[in-house]
Amino acid sequence: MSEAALPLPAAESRSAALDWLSTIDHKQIGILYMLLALFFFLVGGVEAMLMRAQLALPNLKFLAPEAYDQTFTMHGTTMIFLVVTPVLIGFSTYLVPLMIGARDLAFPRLNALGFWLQLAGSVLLYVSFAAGGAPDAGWFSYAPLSEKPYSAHAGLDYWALALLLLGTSTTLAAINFIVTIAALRAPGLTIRRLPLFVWMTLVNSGLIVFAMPALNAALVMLLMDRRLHAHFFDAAQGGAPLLWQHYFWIFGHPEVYILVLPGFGMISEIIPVFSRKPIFGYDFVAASTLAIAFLSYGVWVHHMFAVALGKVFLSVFAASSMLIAVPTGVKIFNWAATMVGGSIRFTTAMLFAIAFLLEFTIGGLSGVAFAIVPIDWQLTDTYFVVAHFHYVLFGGTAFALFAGAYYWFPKMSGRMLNETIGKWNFWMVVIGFNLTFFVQHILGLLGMPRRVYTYPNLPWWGALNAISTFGAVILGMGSLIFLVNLASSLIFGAKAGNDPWDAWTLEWATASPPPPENFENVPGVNSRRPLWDLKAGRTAGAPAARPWAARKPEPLFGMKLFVLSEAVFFFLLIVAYIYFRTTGMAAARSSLHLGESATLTACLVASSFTMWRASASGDLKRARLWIVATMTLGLIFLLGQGAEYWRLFQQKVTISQSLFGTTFFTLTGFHGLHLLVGIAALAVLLALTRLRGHQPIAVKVVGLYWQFIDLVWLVIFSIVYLGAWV
Amino acid sequence: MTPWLTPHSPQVQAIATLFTQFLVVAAVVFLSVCGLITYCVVRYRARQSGEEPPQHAGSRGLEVTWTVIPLLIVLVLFVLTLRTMAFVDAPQNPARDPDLVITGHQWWWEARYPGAPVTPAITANEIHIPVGRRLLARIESADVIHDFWAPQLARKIDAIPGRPSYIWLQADAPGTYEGTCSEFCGMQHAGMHFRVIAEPEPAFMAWLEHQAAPPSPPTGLAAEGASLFIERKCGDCHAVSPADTRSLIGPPLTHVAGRKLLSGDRPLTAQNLALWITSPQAIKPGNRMPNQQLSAAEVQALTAYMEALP
Amino acid sequence: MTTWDLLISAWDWEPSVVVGCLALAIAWLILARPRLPRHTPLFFGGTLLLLLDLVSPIDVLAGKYLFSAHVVQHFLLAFLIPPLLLLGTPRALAKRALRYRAVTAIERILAKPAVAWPIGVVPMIAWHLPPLFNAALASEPLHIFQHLSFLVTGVIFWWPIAGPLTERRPSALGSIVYLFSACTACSILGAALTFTPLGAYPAYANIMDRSEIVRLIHTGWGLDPKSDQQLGGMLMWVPGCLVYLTAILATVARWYAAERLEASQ
Repeated sequence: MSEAALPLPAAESRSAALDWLSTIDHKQIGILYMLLALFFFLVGGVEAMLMRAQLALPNLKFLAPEAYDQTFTMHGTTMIFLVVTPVLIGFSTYLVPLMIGARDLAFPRLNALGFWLQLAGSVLLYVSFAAGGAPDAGWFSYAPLSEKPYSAHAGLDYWALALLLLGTSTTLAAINFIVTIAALRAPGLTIRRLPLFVWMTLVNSGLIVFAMPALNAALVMLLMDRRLHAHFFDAAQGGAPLLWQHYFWIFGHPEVYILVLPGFGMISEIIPVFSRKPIFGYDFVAASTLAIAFLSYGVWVHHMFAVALGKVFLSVFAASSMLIAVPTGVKIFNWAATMVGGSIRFTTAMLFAIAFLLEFTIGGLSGVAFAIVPIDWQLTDTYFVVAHFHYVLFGGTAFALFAGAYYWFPKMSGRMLNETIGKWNFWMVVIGFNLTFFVQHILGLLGMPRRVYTYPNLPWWGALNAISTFGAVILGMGSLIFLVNLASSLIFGAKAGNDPWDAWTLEWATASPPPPENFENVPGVNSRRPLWDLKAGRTAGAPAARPWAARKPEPLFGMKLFVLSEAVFFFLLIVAYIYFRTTGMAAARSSLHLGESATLTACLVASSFTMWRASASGDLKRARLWIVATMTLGLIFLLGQGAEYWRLFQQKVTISQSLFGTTFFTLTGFHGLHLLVGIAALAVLLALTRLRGHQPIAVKVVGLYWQFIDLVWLVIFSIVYLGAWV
Repeated sequence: MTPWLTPHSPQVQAIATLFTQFLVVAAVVFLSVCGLITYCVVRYRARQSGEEPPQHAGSRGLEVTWTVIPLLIVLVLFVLTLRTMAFVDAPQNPARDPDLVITGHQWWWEARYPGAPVTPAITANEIHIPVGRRLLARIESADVIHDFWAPQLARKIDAIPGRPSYIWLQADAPGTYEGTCSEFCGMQHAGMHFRVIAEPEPAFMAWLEHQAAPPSPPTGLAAEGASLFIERKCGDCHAVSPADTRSLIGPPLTHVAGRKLLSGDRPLTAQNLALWITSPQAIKPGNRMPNQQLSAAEVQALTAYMEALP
Repeated sequence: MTTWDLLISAWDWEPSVVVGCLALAIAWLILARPRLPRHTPLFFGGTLLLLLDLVSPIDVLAGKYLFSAHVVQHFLLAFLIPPLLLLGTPRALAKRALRYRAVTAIERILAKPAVAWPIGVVPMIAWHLPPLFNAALASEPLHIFQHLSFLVTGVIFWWPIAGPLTERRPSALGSIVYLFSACTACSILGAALTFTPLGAYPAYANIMDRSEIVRLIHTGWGLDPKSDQQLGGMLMWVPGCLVYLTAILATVARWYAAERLEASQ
């Protein structure tokens, strides 16, 4: 079936394929994200089936150990980075502008770039199969197992590079969502009236902006170790294998919430509509989301309870990890209370939402088990963990996604998904899912470690694993039914109309599928349910319906968010440096020349001044002069740094020679790289002013980035250079 | 492997009790959520009338209730957690030498007894301990991160290169307790089993003395095997004397015939020994032992030598 | 010695502290005349906490025995007492003070977030660097200066957020960035203290004193120097973050409420 046959929104154009490739429309990009995720859902599903086949009975030899290790690594990485993340971004990309009455996201081109980066990262990850072997150290790739001596083929290099691309793509999307939600809401749509899905996308994007750089920092260190023989995680040279774990989980635990919060948002939209009642305790559902977001940065150590880290340390993280269950519980109770007194319609979407409540409660409760440190000391890294996070990510997120797909498919395609097939889909998935994963709790309690390619024939192990595999087959068929429903409904599905569910958020006020401009007129908003008001004739006092008016997106705000994200990245590299210094790494004092680098620092400070003048200058000619001055000062700094590197190489201080070299060159090197990007951006800016005249906003945006890079240098200078003499 | 819910040490007993308490709490919470949802589903299914239900949108009292009650539950669980942690990881005297040093290797476990009256004793995959005595075990790693887990006897603990950790290891009753590696450590993570054998003090001491003594010189076919062992550089990786702590790339074979299991998971028989020697990659694919292309006679001699190391 | 004995006996009624706190309370009573405003308990709570922080067993433990107690002392001085004092200051009083031109000029500079932030955060980090921290332990005048500086910089730091002039507060987003970035800085400090090897603060690593208190700490509470330092780091880290988090949530709630007002108009 060619894409042209899809009844999807498409601008009139020369060719449909070219149109989809070059699109910057948020609806098309959203659908591209979802299709990409759907494809990799199949791939990840096949990987899951391969594992379940190998584990169906004890001592099977269906997959060789190395194949099994690659399969589970790719399954985890695929499902997290190539399926759940993009499908959630896809939904948000598609729905956020519609729900807030906007025409598109704030930065449509950035949005397109994000999708293509996502695609590039996905392809890069799978190229590893052809390049000597897929990554094989598990989705969290603990060092030193992920280091060159223990995983020599290039799989992990592809893994790290792909994740860097994917992380960048996700961060760009998050920044885009935040700016969109902050700047492009319809008149009257205040923060307290935002649909909860948008609320949670907003919080989620905040989480992404601050969490992704931790992964990037860890990946950069891993790549340095693997490709340049650095020693970040090399205990023999004073490096710290645990640093990887800290950084990975500082990203990894917020990531868990990044993967479920939009699901929470979908449930918060669907349950009220099918109960014919507003969400119970809107403020509390919104506030608990914030509480979860903040707490999620303070619980990462519960992934490391089996490491001997000190009792006080563990207790604190036990407390925070238990505490995070409370706001999650508040949500569950509010969703259930929404149904109380309602008039519930059991559509497939609603069935998935109700099942979500139960499955996610199980996942949440088994999560509390891991916050209880001594229980964690027995259960971590067993099948109990596997059961737990599948209840969170499948029973939670995937169920919410199924619900969301049944709910919003009519809006996206103009056709209803078949409800009869939907019921089959639902029951097969529920039964298959619970058969597959519930027994894994028991396997964990029996002592089966995770990530084993086979297991001995012990009492009950074979039987329970066989049940799990049997359940996986049912689950797989249930998921295929979903695909069948998607495909057949696209062609044969009943016409949906604008508002098939009699819902009340703004996306239902426009056609299905929406026209390229989304809205002719955006209804006035003066409550959380604008369409409910409209239908009930209660629109008095609302801002008048009005055509979508072009408003200025705020690039400066976007750059601020980007700078915050980058700040976390440098922050973590600097923390790594400080950590190594406090645990005994000596700074190569004799090789650092304080006077020389103080001169270079003065250069950068001067460039901050010239950049500020350029941003403040209204006159194009003068602004250009200041920009050229800034670039020159930046180049002088880089040349000076090059000279310093040369001298250090002469003195045999290199990245592989010592831990100091490792941290020094990584830190200053990444700063230099950023400075180079800044100079390039200024060069582009100069060219742009030649073509299009003065660009005061663009100068301010690049200026902000420049000031940030200079500030980073001041911190590096005081810690690395001045700190060498402390 | 027998689950940790049938504990054989006071520490694991404490964890099992805590787990039972947690399970009760979790069951109560889950059943109340289930009850609430079932009630809604049955009671509030859409009626034909088409009338909209009352638009009730929240209640501060209820919000406070379902925030405070979970907070209290969490508080109780936290206190129980602290108490159990303090018991399981009871503080040790910092000056105390460990009774036992256990090192994870890809993919086998090394055990040394530095605190014992009779040293050096070193063994692999079969860790003997005296019944009823609480031993301080230092857990180390020679390569990647492993995790030492004998579910019935102790909490699990990560073995991290360059960063030793300590646990208490204790068994209430004589017996053989299964253990395994519980942190993914590469291709044979699944094959990294071990056993803890708890014996009465005298039997343990006798075993220790035997391990610390050099094996008696081989004779006959075994002696041929011994010279082959040197000739083929088997000793580069495997120790055959308790004093040899240098070559520990592969498990020490000093008193290998005294062990019940080969590589932690199959009976130590002549056939299995021969299989290891002829095709080392057949049993644990990925391990570091090369195939030496030995003739049948050479294999027989080496097997005989191994069997002569009781 | 039991914990109870310690709580009863280990008080250090340093006259300057008592007089200072009393003077603070009396000055406030005189200035806030004739009617006590409703913030009164907050201000007096802050003053009482200040007194307790400097004379109670916390001070005794902090002085010689426990790094963690010392962190608690600093934490209260810089994080908890200043916002209490500020929240307890009535608006009218601040308005009256601002009638003097010199006060206005100083306030205008210090109340700028870009100024108040480093004034609040830098001393917090600097004083915990081992050389400065150990120097303050060794010299009584320096130690007093250290405590005063925590209090004063704390008040400056919290002024834009918790000060009585609500209309001068930064925007909600601005306040969140202000608090969150301070929280991050404070987390680094906490993490660094937690992971710093034993011996960076020698006064606590090997206590010379062989008094009853030492026995109580080591055997009664089971707190060895290593756990003590880790506890100190965690105390800086977690309750510190909680204070900022509370302030952030209060800001969000206020913004949320303001928006409701705006929406209903």
